[in-house]
Amino acid sequence: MTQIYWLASYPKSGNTWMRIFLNNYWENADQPININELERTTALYVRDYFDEVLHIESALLTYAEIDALRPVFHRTYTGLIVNINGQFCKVHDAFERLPDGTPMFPADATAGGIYIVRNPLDVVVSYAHHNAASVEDTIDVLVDDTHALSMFPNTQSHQLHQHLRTWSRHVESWLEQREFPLLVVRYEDMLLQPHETFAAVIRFIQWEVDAVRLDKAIRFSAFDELKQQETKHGFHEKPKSAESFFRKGQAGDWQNVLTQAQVERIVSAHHAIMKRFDYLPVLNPSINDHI
Amino acid sequence: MFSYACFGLCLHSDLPFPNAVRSESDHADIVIRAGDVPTTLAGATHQGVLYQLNETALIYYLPGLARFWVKDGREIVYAAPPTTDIDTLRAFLMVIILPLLFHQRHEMPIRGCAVEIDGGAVILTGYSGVGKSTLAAALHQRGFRVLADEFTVVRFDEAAQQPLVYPSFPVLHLWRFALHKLNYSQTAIEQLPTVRPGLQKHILSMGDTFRLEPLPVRGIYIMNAPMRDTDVLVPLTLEKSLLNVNWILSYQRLAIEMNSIKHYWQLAGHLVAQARFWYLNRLKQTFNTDELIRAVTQSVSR
Repeated sequence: MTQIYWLASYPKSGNTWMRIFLNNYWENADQPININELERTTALYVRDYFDEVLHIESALLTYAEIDALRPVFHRTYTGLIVNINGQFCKVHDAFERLPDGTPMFPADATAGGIYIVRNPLDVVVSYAHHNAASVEDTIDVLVDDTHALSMFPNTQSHQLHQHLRTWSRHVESWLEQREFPLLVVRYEDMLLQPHETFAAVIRFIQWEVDAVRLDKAIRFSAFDELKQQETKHGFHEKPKSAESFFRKGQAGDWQNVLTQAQVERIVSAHHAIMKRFDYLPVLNPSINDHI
Repeated sequence: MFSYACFGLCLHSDLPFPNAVRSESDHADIVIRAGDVPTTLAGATHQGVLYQLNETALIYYLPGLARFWVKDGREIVYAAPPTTDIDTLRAFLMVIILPLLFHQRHEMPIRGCAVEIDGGAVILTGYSGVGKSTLAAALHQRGFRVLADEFTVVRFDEAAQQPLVYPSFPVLHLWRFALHKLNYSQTAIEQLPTVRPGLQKHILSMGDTFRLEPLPVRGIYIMNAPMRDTDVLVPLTLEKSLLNVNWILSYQRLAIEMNSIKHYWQLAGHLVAQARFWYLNRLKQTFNTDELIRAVTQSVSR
């Protein structure tokens, strides 16, 4: 039985970039892989997979009934993986447990997790563009403990609902779990120290690190390449509300967008986790006083 | 026992199906009744998280909700705790359990709905949520008769070897969002019963327009929502039709385990030979109803 590597992150934190890198590294081709054909990674929140694997009609189930079946769905799915050397599944859920304590992502279905974390100041800006929402509303979303994706009770999304919680809770939930080994990767390190950061990922998933292959996969996954492919052919994961999926791919763009008051709100809400990841901006003394 | 006419058969059930067409027949082809359902199926050849089965029997579990025992393509026994309401039982019977019973009968339960156009049956199939029922409802609004929702039973006329759709229940299951898009008023929607308590999926009755006569299959439309712009209607070659014929079957992996797939493939060969297959491509971001209806009706007329 092949077990799953979860590629976990809050939205707009580099998950897709990581998936594209892994696909490029695996393929080791002479040209970049097509971003619309990421065959080495998948997303188990796709409703059809759930229905096909469990032989059920999830459209008839309540959110709680679907949640209750997700651990067995993940476990059953691992029994069906036959074609690849390792399976990588994108996930935006927080590390959730059922009311009886059963983890949504069970240890016996899991080889490990790669958690990608990004400065919430940049997440807010990127997530606002992604959802065509205001920065203020997006700041509210990041402190909303009920925040979920694809939770539309009056229609059927092609994705199952996913519980995100607050940004801080999302990060904490994955870091606190002790069900399986977890590699934590900072988006900013993927950007500034790509060779060291992606080599650590390759080692974690127990593939052989090949310097030439690594360098090529990093180049083939670079932002300009992804942007160019999206401009030319589109990207099927782009929400209809967003102008593009790959927008700037920078760290620190928040400095050009957020007001002082907005920065204060975000820092105030997520201070502990931001401090842990060295994300606290240099604030004027009056702000530091009340945080 | 209530007696109903559906799928060209007589269904006897101790559970009422309020919208179904009543039958006077004493002979039951299918019986649905409450009873004891064992936790283990003796002689099971395959099992999954929610089921155990062999060629002639299947037990299907919905944890905390119900257990179903499907036998010989003729009988469904259900057991449920008092907390499970009748609507929930009925919904799972209509959407999951009955198609599995038709596999035991070695028949063709195709995922999706069917509508009468030009005296023939058009089957709208495709993945869950692509808009099959919504398109059927839009056709119904324009005066076309709905023959089946959720799954469609195709059976061959023995004399002419012609594939026929046998109408099922005179209802469509529609999400509240779809009903709004179809211009149903908030008040009208509030008055429609829901498929299950707590689910904003409603039961739309087809009323007096429903008929039970089987109709020859005129076309099978596989609905998609492709990423790139493409033609709304794309005819499938014989080869591509054969590649798709397996996928359009309800619960096809279970059909393989039940060993009923061999019967299906025999029938599917005839189906591909006698009915035209199409890709029906809706826009990814919105539901271009008029364009889809035009594409289907014009292609059937041709």
